[in-house]
Amino acid sequence: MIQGAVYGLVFLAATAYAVRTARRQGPLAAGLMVRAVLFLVTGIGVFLPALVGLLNLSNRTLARLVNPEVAVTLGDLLLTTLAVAGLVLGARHWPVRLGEPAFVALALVSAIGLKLAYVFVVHVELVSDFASMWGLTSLLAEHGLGATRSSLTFFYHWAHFERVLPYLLPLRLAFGPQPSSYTVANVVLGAASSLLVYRMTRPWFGAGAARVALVVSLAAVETVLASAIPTHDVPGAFYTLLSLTLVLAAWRLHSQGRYRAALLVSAGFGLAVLVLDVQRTTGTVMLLSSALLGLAMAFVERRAPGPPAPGRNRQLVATLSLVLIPWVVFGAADQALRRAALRVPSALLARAGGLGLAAGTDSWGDGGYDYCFENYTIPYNALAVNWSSLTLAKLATDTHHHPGARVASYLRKATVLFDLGSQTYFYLNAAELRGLGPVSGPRADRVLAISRWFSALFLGALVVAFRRLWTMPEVPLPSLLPLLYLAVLTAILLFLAEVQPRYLYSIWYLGAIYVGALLGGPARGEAES
Amino acid sequence: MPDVHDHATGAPSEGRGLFRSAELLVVLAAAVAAGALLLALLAVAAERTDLLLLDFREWRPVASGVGEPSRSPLEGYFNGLQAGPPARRPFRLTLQLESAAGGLGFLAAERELPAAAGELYCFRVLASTSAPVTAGGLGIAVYVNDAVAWSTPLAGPVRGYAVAVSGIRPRRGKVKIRLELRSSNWQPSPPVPAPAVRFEYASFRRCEDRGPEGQAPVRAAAPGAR
Repeated sequence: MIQGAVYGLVFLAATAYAVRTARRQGPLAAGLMVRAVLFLVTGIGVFLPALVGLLNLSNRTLARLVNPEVAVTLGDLLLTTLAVAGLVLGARHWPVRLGEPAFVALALVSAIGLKLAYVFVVHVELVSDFASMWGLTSLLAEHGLGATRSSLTFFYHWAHFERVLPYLLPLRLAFGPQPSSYTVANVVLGAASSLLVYRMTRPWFGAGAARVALVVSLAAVETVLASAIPTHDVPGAFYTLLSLTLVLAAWRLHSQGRYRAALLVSAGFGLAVLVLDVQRTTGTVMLLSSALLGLAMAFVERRAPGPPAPGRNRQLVATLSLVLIPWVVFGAADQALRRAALRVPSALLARAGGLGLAAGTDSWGDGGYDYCFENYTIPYNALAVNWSSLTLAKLATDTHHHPGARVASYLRKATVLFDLGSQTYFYLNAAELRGLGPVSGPRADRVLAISRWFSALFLGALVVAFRRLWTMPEVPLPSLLPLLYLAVLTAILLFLAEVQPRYLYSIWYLGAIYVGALLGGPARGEAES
Repeated sequence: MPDVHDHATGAPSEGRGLFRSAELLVVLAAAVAAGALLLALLAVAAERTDLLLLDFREWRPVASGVGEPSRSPLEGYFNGLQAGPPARRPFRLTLQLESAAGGLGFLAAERELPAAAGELYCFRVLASTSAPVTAGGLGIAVYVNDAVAWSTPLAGPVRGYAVAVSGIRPRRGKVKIRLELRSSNWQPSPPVPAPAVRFEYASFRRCEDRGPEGQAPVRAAAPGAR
């Protein structure tokens, strides 16, 4: 009851805030339609769940402060806050005379050095998906694809099989069975993701914002901890950023009138999205987001992208390259992979299709991973029924009976999905710092609390960044793409699927773009280069 | 209009703000409207077609066994088993016997569903258990009009059953469905809670499937393996 009242108040406050913001001067003053659309897309997708997640995180972290049983101290949180503030201020006020490349190099080298030290010092006992994937990787490396594939009978066996193909298996084959074959790659790939974030942010929001985005994404506690795990989160985030980079490059080529190159890059975008889909199952979300923005750019704009080009239908080419080509390439390559038995076979996919949705669509479920796994996945997995039609029936009936319950479920699930920092336990499970004893008990609580506090600061900045974004006099259109991706992904997870915070791992990079825009914008009187 | 050249290259432009672009708004509004329309269509489809799942909120508990519990404590026990208050558990029903020693002999939930005379109906439900049910231990049964229409196959250990009963004929304009859980010689030592059984995805609708000729109107799908 109390929780419901709190969420109700949060919702009312957010609505009132949106209305109040809308009365101000700026883009939001453009009309009722603007406010409605903006509030729906970014508000429901990111702003509101982030706000709910933030309240939840603060609540837990603050509870630890007054609980003497928990090892975290005010000093820990103060030190975390000061460290973050120091990094942000240092990045923002980096002396121009020292040069931008010097800053980027310094940040990357420091982060890579620290993370390498971390992954070489800790010993992590693999658990859950990580153990399964690494075990499967070893099997594939030793016995080959064919021999191993014949033993994949369940849907989730195939899901793991898909995930190890674009990352862990090549690493295992190239560098052998020792953990460093993936930990070093994780560190390098994390740094590469941050570099892509920097490259994206700079033209949109300025050099200061890009520097802040770079250090925030490099310093995020979970991106450090995840480096030590054979995970699909790290490459998943990289492929997300790579896909975004490619689609943005296609736009840029269009604007320069280089249509053929744009078509080729769009095809590359389709392939990158396929890799993303194989790795993290979010490829279609990426296609949907880019198509939404691509349609706006290519189909509706009276001035189609690109300079005048006689004899060429710019809108047709734009539609082709920005919207259709990626879908076609993605679909064709996806089918080819399935026929070659490198992805879940179509028949198995059809049989299991909707199983995940069936598990997570309850209005009344809490959406927690353990709950779904224990209550649905195991008993459901063996039932030979048509899950797609049942899922549709459940969705339809649920919507029909309980629209209010679905809203409540959305808010409740947001506390789970945006419980950022909680994965620390997952990444640290059974981790042992050499010479320092196992990270368990009070020390683990302490690391978790620090990680949650960092997440609370991050989410707080993200929430405020949206407000800033909404009231900026000029927002570059492509800069909305990461936000749209995040919004579509979050909305789908909250309304339809199970909600592990790990699905949002890429938020440490995508969110950093907007946190950078907020905290790294040009200071008063400072001339940004 | 925003300057698309500048937007594409990311360079600051002198144009109007993004959200003043009426065309972008049209596209986004259309996307939102399409989503809302889809939801509305789903809701209408749910109400008017066979998609509608059975609502378990109206189902009442029935029990027998040691002590013959009176109605009120039984309802309290029954409600306590469900996932939440009745308003929030329309499509799922959970049954669980108390620990076998001295608990309920059986626990069932039943309801009379309105049906048109002369029509044939099908009933489907998924039953899954919180722990494997071994043969001869816990029995699950579906009664239609007071006759056993399906019961746990003698195979185990299993954790899920897809139950389908077809060729159901209404009796006096109604069909009585009863989902039952029964302990049969199940006396573990020390006493442990019996596995909970969850019934969900239940549907009751008209269908032409008559079931096996001359037999009781029963047809059950093969049980799933663990």
